[in-house]
Amino acid sequence: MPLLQVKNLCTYFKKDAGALSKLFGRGTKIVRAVDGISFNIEERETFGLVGESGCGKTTVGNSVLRLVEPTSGKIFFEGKDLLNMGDKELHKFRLKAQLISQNARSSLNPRMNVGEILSEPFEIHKVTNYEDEIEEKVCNLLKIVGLSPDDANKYPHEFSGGEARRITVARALALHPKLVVADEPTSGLDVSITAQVINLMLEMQNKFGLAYLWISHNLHIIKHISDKIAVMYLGKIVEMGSRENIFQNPLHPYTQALFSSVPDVMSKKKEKIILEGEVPSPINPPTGCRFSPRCWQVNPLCKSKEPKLIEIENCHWVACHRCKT
Amino acid sequence: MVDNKKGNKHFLQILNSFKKKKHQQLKNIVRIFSIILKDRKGILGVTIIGIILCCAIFSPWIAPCDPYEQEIANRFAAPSLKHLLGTDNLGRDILSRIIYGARIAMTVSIGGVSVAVVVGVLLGTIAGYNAGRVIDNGILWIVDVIRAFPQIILILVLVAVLGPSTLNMIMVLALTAMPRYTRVARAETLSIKEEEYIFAAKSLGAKNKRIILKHIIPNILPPIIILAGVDMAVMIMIEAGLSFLGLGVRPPTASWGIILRYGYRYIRLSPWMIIWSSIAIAMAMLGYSLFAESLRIALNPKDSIEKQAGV
Amino acid sequence: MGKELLSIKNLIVEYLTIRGKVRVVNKVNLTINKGEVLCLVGESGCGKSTLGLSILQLLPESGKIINGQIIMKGQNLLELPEKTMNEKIRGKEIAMIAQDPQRSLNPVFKVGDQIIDVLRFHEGNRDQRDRSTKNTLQPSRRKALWKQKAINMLDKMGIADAGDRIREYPYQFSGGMKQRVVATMAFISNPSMLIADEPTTALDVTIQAQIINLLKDLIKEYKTAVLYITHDLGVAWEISDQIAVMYAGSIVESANTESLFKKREHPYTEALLGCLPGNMMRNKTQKKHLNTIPGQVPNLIKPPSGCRFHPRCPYSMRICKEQQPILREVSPGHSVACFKKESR
Repeated sequence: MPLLQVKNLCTYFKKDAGALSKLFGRGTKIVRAVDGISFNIEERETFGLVGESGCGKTTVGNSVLRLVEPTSGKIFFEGKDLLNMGDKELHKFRLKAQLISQNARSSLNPRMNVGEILSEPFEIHKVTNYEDEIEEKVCNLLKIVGLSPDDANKYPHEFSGGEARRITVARALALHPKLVVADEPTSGLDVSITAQVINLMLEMQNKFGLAYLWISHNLHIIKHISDKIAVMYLGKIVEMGSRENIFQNPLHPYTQALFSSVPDVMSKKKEKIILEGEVPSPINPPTGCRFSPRCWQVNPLCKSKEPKLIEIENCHWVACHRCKT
Repeated sequence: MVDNKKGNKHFLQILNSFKKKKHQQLKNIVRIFSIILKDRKGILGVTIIGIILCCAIFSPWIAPCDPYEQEIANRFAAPSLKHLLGTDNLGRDILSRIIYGARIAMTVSIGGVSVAVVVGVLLGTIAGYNAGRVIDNGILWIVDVIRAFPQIILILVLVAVLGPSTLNMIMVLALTAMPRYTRVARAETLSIKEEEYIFAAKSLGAKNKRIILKHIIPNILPPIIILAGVDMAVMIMIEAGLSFLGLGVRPPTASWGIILRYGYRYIRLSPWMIIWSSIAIAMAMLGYSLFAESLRIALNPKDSIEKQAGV
Repeated sequence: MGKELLSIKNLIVEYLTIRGKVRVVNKVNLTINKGEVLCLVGESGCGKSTLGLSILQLLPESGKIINGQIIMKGQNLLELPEKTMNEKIRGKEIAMIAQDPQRSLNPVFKVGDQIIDVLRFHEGNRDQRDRSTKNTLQPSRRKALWKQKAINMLDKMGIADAGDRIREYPYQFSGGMKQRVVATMAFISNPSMLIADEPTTALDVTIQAQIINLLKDLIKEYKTAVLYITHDLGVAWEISDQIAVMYAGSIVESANTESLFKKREHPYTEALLGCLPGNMMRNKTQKKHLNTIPGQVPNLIKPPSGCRFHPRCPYSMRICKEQQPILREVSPGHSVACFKKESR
């Protein structure tokens, strides 16, 4: 049984129009951040979620942890229905599924020192009543992520970007979760620090048997660490499959354009697919296939009918009318 | 026997951790003060407030004379060796009265502001955290009603109704000052509510009470504190004003406002009462403002000047 | 040397902080030739942005240029008075594109007004002579000419409906389009050099590809020399002719792009390129750990003695702890600052 099952997840946000706009008939706008997504994550697996800004990948991460209430769809964690859980069960769920936010610095309370930040998971879930034990656990956590126990007295602003990231990783792992949603864990970090953080996260995965929902726009990293990958565009998954299938044989035009745009060191300078225009707004997605306005292989069917995610080969799904062979 | 030992161990551990927490808090306070004292504003502010506090606490030992002892023969005397600031309309030593007056000033300002801050911040954060819901609208309504009255009128009416006494003054001043804190706390909460560390706390499973107390309130303190500093200064002034109007503490209690009142009445006979009481009030207000400003900078771990080198 | 456009000699820049003086740029020598794209590559804190800002003397208050010369067309820019610097150099001879397009544009002014502002500042001081009548142009006619120039330029930058969009505010543009507007403001005065400080870091990958493509076309057309500052080695590979690698305030290696990536002479370059995940081969079952550079970027208030990389260098020798190596040519066009490489 997969650790996480997501079926037809939709998360919409309401963008309230001001009073004057309502007067003129322009009602509340709906931002369809996530519009019908289905995928599974197995235990100990790394599921890479790729896409550019506005595609909804961060919202997927937040919805899966119920930090944002999904509008419709089903999410099963360890077989239990997540969206219909009571408060107590939800509290227990939080023990098993954690979040590593995109910006490490701003996800640390600037007025709490590291010791307090790392004690918080233990205090919230009342793991133990003895302060000494909590202190011991905090010191252990710091050691595991490569920091020193003395750092517990320091404040977040005293740390570099990479170190702040390590602290957030430590906090996420404090309660030995089974699933960690890592939202751009290496964004803003230097090349050498990125390598250190990735190594740390791989080590943690091996040690604690974690599954990652790894959200990133950095294709090199996704290629390196993922077992399965899904490519998102404007709230929908356009292509999904095993790492080998996706990288060796990208079928969806957006995936192809994305891969070709990434600057690659020492690559032979090949013809790039340069996309025209900008990503449209998720408030008014285009009719039919959402990528059709920018697709160079578009035909009339694409503009009228939305393609479904179909399994093209074993562990490779595409949502494109042209990829039916 | 085992149970007893465990109970003892538990008790000792609690005691230890309590001591550690206090130790940590003390270290924090020392650290904050050391930052304040590196700043010129801070040094001046702390000195002035320190002096006034000393006057307030140690008045019986510092004051050269009894503030209530009258020397009718020596009224309106100019400053002399015996009476360093002169004497007032009843021959009482002005210096001693000013020193004792610090008590009233400190009590009213610190007391009033404390109550206003505690109540205001709590209401404000609850309102901001539940923005848009009934409780938010309810709190805002209460606050707006209080604010609709001109502050001075409200103070005068309430004091007139409740009767002049120090406690009443504190309560009334707190009530009229509270809306500001509620508003500021609410606004700050609204902006902090969306910060990532709040989100992270929620993802850990933190309940609302914990988020408000441990995450939101410590982060909204800087503007509250500087507002409190300014408010303390203002409350000293309002206390003086009320006493000046005869609605504050009753004579013969030594309060700066009372000295000001009689000084005004007898200004043609001797300017000294007005001069010294005005200086006292002005210095207190200055001291509070300076202290609040440097405290705000010291309290924000990010605002240190170290961050200037942007390589 | 007719090819040289800008020559930086022995530049030293320090910041004054509460903890002491920080030497952020440490005796840097750099030359940019006409029409060439030089990429300045390094991690955060190495001083590359500071170097870029020093050329235009746009350092924050705590930054001071202690020593050195920046020579352009025979003149030392550091000796020019501020007024000349402002009128002749900034935005005219040397233009700049900064990292965050959000902060480069003033949110309360229309985009068109901001572009025309550049023209007004640089061309408005001279008399414009109308070719047909040989009379001084009326201000309104001048403004109309500028507006047309702005529209043409925006169109060239790939912004559709430039005539309408010129009346819009920055918030109505997306990140990539804002960067195009900034590029318009940079190129409209036909500068001989452009300083681009991480212009695509804040943008999405596909938008980044668009902007880089645009920049390549513009560079070809205007024959502008470019100092492109970035930490993204992939972008450096794509866009540059020459690369200089910076570490802790000094340039440790400088070569033409292909040579640098192939030979990787300096240990830091070698280690840096080794960290990239794109280059790792991994087998199906086990995810290989990436190579990392042990240790951390040094504290520039108390930098390590001698070569600043020696605490993290796998090849460090005794001399590395004692003396700082100087950039020396080890093969034609390829310079390295390393004692180990010199001794070969």
